[in-house]
Amino acid sequence: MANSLTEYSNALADAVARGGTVVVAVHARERIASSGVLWRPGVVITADHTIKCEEEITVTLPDNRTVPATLAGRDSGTDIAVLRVDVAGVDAARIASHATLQAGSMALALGRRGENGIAASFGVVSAVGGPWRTWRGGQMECFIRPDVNMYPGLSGGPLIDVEGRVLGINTPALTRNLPVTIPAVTIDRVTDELLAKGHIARGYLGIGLHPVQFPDGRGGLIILSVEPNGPAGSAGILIGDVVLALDGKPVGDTEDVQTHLAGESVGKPVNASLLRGGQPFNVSITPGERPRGGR
Amino acid sequence: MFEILAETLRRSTVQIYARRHGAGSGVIWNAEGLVVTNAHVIESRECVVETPDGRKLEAVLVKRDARRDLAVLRVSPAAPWEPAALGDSRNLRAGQVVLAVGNPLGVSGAVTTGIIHATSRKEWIQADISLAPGNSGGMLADTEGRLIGINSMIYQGIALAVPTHAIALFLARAFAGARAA
Repeated sequence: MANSLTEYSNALADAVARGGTVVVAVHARERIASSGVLWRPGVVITADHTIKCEEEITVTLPDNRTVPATLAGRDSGTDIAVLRVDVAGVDAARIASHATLQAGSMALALGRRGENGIAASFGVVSAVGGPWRTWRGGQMECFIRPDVNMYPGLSGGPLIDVEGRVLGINTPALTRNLPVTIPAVTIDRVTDELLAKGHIARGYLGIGLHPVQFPDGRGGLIILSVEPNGPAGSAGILIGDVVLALDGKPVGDTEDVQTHLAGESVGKPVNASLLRGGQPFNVSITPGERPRGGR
Repeated sequence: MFEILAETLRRSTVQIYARRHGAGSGVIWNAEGLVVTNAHVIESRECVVETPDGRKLEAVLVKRDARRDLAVLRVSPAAPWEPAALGDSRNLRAGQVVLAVGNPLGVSGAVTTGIIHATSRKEWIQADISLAPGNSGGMLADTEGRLIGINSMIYQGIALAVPTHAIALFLARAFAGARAA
């Protein structure tokens, strides 16, 4: 009896030790350091909200060396920041697919406390769901809610399975009460784009919209403003037109449009179905890139 | 899966009445009647220890160290009296499974499970486990049923326990001092 419990205990401690070989401490804010993951050789991922100062960031590695890191890019939408570190001979994360993840799977949240070693918190995956968009506008490939205590300093650290493989990184900043895990597949996509461009391009139509409902129960979005020379304005869209669908998908809420524009939408023409004076028509709009720093 | 272990640990866990309000927990340390608990559980020199089978025994405070949050009491033991098995608190691993037994909020012999959170502080065991008032002075044990520490407090959500090796040191000093006096 006691032996099987000890085997279970050893397995968890082994998972922490194995997972801990890719967990770093990230020093980019006052007081408590956050955590990060050696995602690829020379690339550290952490939670964007824990980067308070962009200059003179340092990272404490699993072997206790503290090395300088440079911010390669950050995306508040998905709460992902990418740091570059010039180190050789360190592990990179072994990634576990979320495809087989189920509610109830045992999981551990890890962090690194400065030079004081690994820190762990144990629980289960509480819920797994489909794609979702964060309140900051970032697109997540799947929803993972961990039931683990997020102690100070664990933000940006990985959620690992009992084999020590990384499922994603944990952040309390994307939901009101409980932490979520940013899935590895999202981190891979955002990291590729941040490393290539330094920021995430968000699709942009240049219109202001408000939901309307017709007497027959159908819904749409009425156009309240049009950016002159913006993507929609250039396509001939006028104030008062009503958007019914984008690429055949009905839109009843501005959220539907945001979702449609998430991901790699910039430069890819969208077939918009509209009403003008009661007459349906279609027009192709090519989303531009949302101006950075503005709306 | 933890039932047998929990039952074993409960047999070495006592309730301590030494304050105006509420009870704390304590651990049966040896066959000679020593009980170890937290200093903050003990407010007076005389207190009552309630054994797992419900007998109430008069206890005398032998030594109290508020800084280490440790106290040792002596009772005249009567069977059944089962001292805790002692574990090694110097070689803990982050992630290993631990159990806490105590009397949180007056519930006698309640069990919670968790893991070692970190091993970065020598003077405290840091555990990811849920504790409540009344767990104070109670047992933190490994999966072999051995005492590794005495639950003391919660700091930033993390349970802190005094490691067994620190308790042994405290007792050695307490009794060296007693002989000298």
